[in-house]
Amino acid sequence: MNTPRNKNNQEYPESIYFNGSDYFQILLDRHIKKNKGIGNIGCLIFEIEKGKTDLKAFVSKKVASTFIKWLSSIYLKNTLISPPIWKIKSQSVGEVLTYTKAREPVIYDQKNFPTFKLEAAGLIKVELIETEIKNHLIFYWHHALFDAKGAEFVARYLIGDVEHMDIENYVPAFEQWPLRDLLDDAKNVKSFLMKNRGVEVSTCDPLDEKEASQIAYHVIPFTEEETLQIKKKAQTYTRLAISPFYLGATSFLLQEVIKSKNQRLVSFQIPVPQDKRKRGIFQPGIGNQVSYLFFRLYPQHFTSFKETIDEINRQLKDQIKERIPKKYAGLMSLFLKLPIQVYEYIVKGPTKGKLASFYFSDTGQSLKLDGNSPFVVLDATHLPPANKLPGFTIVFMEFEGRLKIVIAYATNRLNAKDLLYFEKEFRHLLL
Amino acid sequence: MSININQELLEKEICGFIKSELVAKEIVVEPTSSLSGIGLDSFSKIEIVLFLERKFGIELPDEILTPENIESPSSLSKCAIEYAAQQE
Repeated sequence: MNTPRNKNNQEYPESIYFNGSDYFQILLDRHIKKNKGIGNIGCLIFEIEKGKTDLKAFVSKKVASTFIKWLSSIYLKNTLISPPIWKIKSQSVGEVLTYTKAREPVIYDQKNFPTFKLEAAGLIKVELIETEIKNHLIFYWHHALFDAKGAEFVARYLIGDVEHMDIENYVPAFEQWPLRDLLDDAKNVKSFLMKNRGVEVSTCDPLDEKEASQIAYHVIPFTEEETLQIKKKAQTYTRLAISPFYLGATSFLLQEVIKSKNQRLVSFQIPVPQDKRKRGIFQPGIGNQVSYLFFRLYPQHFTSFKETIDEINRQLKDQIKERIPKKYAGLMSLFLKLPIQVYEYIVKGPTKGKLASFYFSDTGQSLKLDGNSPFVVLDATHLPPANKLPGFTIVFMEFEGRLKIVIAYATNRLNAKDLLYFEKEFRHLLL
Repeated sequence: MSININQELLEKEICGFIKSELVAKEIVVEPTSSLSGIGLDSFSKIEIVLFLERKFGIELPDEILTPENIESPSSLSKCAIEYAAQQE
């Protein structure tokens, strides 16, 4: 078989290096499936204005391109004797694109997600739904293959915002970590992670292993004016980064909900992803290019909203000073050498299997298009992977100057009253 | 804090740090470049502030880290020099 090449004569590789963060995403996939969820699957939805260009014809052409064919042929090869690696399947992997004409508005629900099997390729899917008033392009991906930035890059390619595919930079280079530094860093970050070993990690409800995982999404939109107002208010709490303001509001409200259900709050443990890519480019596109900051909050940090944010800011600065995200990336790369079962045992230990109190992500303004696309995107929404444990995942995202909060919640953990509370109180705290 | 630093040196050091640690090699970083304009997010700005603290011992309090003061390497250097002078 001839190796496919792009327009610049760059070869599409037949295997791709795996990184520690990808391996962590596989661990999360196992964690979700063990808790009766569908897996570690992300989803981006673009609402597109009906215009002159035929979206179906345009996207079909893109899906038939060498790039998308190659991308959808990637599968995981993982054996007990060798570290995991991405490989390319030579046989056809089935349909990537589906098209539906619908009378009803599109409802954001995890029930509509496809399922993926890492070892079988076909780890991306594209769905086009045409309704009476607008079109929807929905992009699903397995989170072990790439992170939300990587997904965004593919989605941009599909709607024509990205034309050129620079394969050399799209595929990650092998990460060479000096072993001595790696071991020092691993020791350091391990002691940081183990500080709280044995302390109960609070989630929004106790776990019942027999219950099915039913996830729904709730979106809280803000106008452009409100978004500006929020940014102005955030400045009075936290000068440089807006994320502590959002994380503070989320933690503050979730602990109120927990208390309202007569549950005891012992500790919140929240891993927050940090993009490791150099700024100004999207590459590499394959692989999870993230590390993590870890926030720990206790009842004494919830005496006021300001106190919560001050504590988050303090921990943020301390961790950046101690280079925790960089060291944690090193530790994750060391874990690549372990069988997944051993890795799972080590990672779940400090939190007694829970991993986190909730998942939080601030994706910023990254969905803003550059204007090369022939389509007008009216709105974009990121639906994160989620399951019943911990039952609460939240994304703060901005599209065309408008902030949007997406809450993924377990329907058997939070009810309509809780969601109304979040809606009302987020507006109150942020505005 | 070292008394041998001046604004020009500080600008150069900040630009060097941004180039080597934070942005892609294609990105041009000048003293007057807008930090947001070259793609830096708020976490990157925290890294720059902590770099000043680590390398020059200039610990900038939150109150002076206004959007205007962290607009560019030049404005940040100016603010850091002025703050350091007040502390001496």
